[in-house]
Amino acid sequence: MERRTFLYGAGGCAVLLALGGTVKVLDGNGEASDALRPPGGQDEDRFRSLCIRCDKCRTVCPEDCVSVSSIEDGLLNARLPRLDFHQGKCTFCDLCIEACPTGALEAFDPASDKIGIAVVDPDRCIAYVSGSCDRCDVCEYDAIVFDEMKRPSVVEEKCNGCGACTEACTANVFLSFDGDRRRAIEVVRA
Amino acid sequence: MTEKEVKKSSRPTVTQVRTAVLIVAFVGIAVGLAFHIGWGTLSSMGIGAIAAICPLGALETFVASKTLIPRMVIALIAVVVIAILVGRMFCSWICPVPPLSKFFRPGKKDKAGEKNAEKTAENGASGAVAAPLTAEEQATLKAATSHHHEEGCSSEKGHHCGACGSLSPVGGKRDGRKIDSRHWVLGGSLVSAAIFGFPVFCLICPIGLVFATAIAVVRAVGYQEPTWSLLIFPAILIVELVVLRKWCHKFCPMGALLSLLNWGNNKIRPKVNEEVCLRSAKGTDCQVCVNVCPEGLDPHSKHIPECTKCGLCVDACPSKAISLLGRSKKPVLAGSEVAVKKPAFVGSESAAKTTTPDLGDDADLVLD
Repeated sequence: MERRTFLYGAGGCAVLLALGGTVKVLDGNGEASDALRPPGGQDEDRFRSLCIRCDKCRTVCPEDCVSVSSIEDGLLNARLPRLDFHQGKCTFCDLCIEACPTGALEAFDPASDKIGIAVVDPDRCIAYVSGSCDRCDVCEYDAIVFDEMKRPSVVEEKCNGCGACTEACTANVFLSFDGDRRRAIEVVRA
Repeated sequence: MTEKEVKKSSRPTVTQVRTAVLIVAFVGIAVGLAFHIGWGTLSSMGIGAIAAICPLGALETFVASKTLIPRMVIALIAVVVIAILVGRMFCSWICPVPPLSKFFRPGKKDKAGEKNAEKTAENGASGAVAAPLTAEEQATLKAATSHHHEEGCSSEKGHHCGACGSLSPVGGKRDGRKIDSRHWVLGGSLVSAAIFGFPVFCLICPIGLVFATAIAVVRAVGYQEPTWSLLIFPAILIVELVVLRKWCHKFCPMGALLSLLNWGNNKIRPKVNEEVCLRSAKGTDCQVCVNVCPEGLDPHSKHIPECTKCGLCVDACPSKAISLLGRSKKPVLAGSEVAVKKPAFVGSESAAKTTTPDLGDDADLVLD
């Protein structure tokens, strides 16, 4: 019985250490994921050390912009929250920060902190491709400017990655599926 | 047979109450997940900033981040206080793992209890159980009872003599505080979190995977996001519960942590009314409560930190001597009266007797 206890215990510990090491190696230095974290979770190392994948931030989000990573993003990323601005934008209501039980999401100031920065894809953007679209002209922070041809670009200093432009963008929404859900303006990690 | 009898009484059994609590909790959580209400999962449940936290997850994040986050510490302290008060109650009242294990491995469930039932049926004594005792049976019973009496007590007086004629408790295999493989896994969870800088155990926590699967279903149905998570998460879960088989008793670090926190809990635990207990009061070699306990404990023992307050002993006790909340029952004086009123006693007694050697031989029969 003593030996069995030892075997089960040592086996369990060995599996945990092997698992931790393997997913860490597979993940590299966090490069495997480019997921956007909810506000306050931008320090990826800190965020990963604190998130217990409890799903609270996702379920409290009134805009539904907090989604969840799946196993395709790797075992280390699976079940961590990620932002999906196709469902909604971040209004910095702080409900997810309040709900986070471990403090993985820190206090966030939309005036100085950034979830990410919006990037326009000229190959998809209707304004670039055929003209006459200004659906992304919804930025509360004046981070989207239009040139003389009415084509949008992002002022990086002003953009905090709230995702309102992504939510509004219609490119690749009604078009036929091309194997990629990305719209013409997407927020990427800053 | 005990079940039969219990169903007749108006008060629900502890098992029925527990099942109801579990169903309500999970319907609540499922509604919260599906309709975005935001009261969370078992990892963290509550409204807004007032929420409980998984104590294991909290400790893991503490060693992984090497920082103390005030709100996490407050939530952790609150949960630790609750754990000190109710011990491992979580394990049998809320945790989804035991019912899922039963679902995936039907027939293997609750070995000790089933064994009792089987043996009783084989014994043939169960046939007579529902009917009042015949004179012959009463005589047999009396003989059996007095047979176990210590010397110095005449068999005539046996039933009425409270001072003598009591047998010492059987004692459970896992009474008291024992360090086992679960505590190793608990240590491994914390060490791996410290080394790799993130809560490693959370990745494969079966409780977390239950909700991960539910969330994957919600995302697939509600958001048209079918992912491999739908298959992989339940697959890991099934490996843990079905292939490893003995998750709760051999591996679960959560159970280990809760039992460690179960210091001086004397409030909610099975309490035996020694004046009614067949063993303590009348010297019958009844071992029903010990045999039915899935944790391998004896409710007569003073220190049983592994008790999950599942109430199986309460439901099984032939003389209804055990209660969880410890409402003091009036002592039942005449011993023979009890025996006649609770005919289940005969069957139970023989069942207890027949199972005794099995339990002595292999702890896994009980602990599985």
